[in-house]
Amino acid sequence: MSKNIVFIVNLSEDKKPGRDKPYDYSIKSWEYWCDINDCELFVLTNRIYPEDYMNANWHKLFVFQLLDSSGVDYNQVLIVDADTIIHPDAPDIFKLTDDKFCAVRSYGSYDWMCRSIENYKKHMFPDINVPYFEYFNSGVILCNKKHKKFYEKIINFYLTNRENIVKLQETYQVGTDQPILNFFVKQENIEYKQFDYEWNMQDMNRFEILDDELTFTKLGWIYHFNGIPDDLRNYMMKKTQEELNL
Amino acid sequence: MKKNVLFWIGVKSKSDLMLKKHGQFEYLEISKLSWKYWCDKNNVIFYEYKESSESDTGKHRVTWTRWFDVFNQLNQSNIQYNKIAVIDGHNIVRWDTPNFFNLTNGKITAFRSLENLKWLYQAVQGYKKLFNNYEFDTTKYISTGFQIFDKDHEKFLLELKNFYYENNQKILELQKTVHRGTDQTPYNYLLQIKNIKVDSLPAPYLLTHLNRFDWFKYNWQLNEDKTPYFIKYGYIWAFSGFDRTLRNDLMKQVWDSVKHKYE
Repeated sequence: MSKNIVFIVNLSEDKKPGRDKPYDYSIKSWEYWCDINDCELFVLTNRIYPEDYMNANWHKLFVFQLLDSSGVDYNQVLIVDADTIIHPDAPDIFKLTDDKFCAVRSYGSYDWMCRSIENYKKHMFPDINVPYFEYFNSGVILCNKKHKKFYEKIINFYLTNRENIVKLQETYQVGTDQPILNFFVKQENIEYKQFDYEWNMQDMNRFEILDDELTFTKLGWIYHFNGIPDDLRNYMMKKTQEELNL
Repeated sequence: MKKNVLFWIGVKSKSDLMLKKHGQFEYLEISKLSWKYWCDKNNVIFYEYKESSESDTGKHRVTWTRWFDVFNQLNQSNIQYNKIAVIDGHNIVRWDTPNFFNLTNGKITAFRSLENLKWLYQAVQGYKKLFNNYEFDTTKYISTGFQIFDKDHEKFLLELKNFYYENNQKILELQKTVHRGTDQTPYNYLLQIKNIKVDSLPAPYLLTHLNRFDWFKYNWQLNEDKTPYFIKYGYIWAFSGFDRTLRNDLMKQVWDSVKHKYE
């Protein structure tokens, strides 16, 4: 019987040593939540392409190929970054999707976000407009079988335009898979449902809830420990995992 | 013929505390200029709320009394209104902002408050007892700084007024001890308790905490257009979320850079 899948890429990177240190806390939380909600957790730990050819984030796009080649019978897929922790009491997110591609708006620095949109539009998607309030964070994405071709298109786009993409990544440093995915959703007219902030609580420091009282755990469900230094990420993810008794 | 009204909050409190916080309220003049221009352009009545029904504005804050006075003052002025937008005087509206009244649908129109969430959490906790430990949904917490009403909402504002005066001592005490705003959190509790339907406008119709979210910056990498993001992408700019003593200066700088658009 087909199941809903949670997919996490857990790959270390030479360019970001130690970055993956707290990923186990993330995986533990998702394991626990999947058990309660009758989902299957699929963690990618082996590279498809070497780091100098494709960084870890881009590996998220191979989710359908990997599930198919592993013989996993799946229904909906939740692709989450390994720097997220889910609250054990979070409701079943798969029940909220209406069978659409779902994500949470990107929240945080509009300087970073607008540069990301404007720079990629100028250099790669001159005819596509992505309004800033539709631009989503790719750390929590829900999709399903009907998006398989869409993901294949993006992979092909990467493989064909890799040099340009890597150049843009390195020149501007305003995202890897995220800007491309956003422009592709627009370009391909993918029906997209926007979830509330509580389902991908990004840049929590800016919202002043990343504290020792773990205020964020009282306000939402998926905690995304981004936009902070590595040592703070390690500390907060460890503390969250311990406090939530995962 | 009935028209839509922009009920603009321009009361200059004479209390020492408020004068200290807001300087001489020079920023109000800037906000007023922008809104008068917008109202003229969109055939909307500009109504300046400059006198509170309570003389002691240090005790009974304008943030509260505006809700008690809005319908009363419009009725007393014999204004035939359709919809009413109530907006704080620390906002500037962009010259070409579309007529947002056309986007409303009979529900209260407001924006989710998603900025300093710790402040919000503490505010909700701080007022919980006053509302018999009501289970408040923080995902529905709105900013009261810009809302659109129609005649049907007069009843809710009357209930708010009754609640305020019936619980005045407790509310004034909580304002001092919880120290998380004035009207906004009790207003939100009552909205949820009374099950009042709220809808929103697209995000560009209210940008808040401009500094927190880096709205003042521009694309320094392409370096082709130095227009700050908030001017480029936002329609209504709320100068909030920072030290209020900076407000006069900041709004003046912005106004000086865009005022030619309003001529």
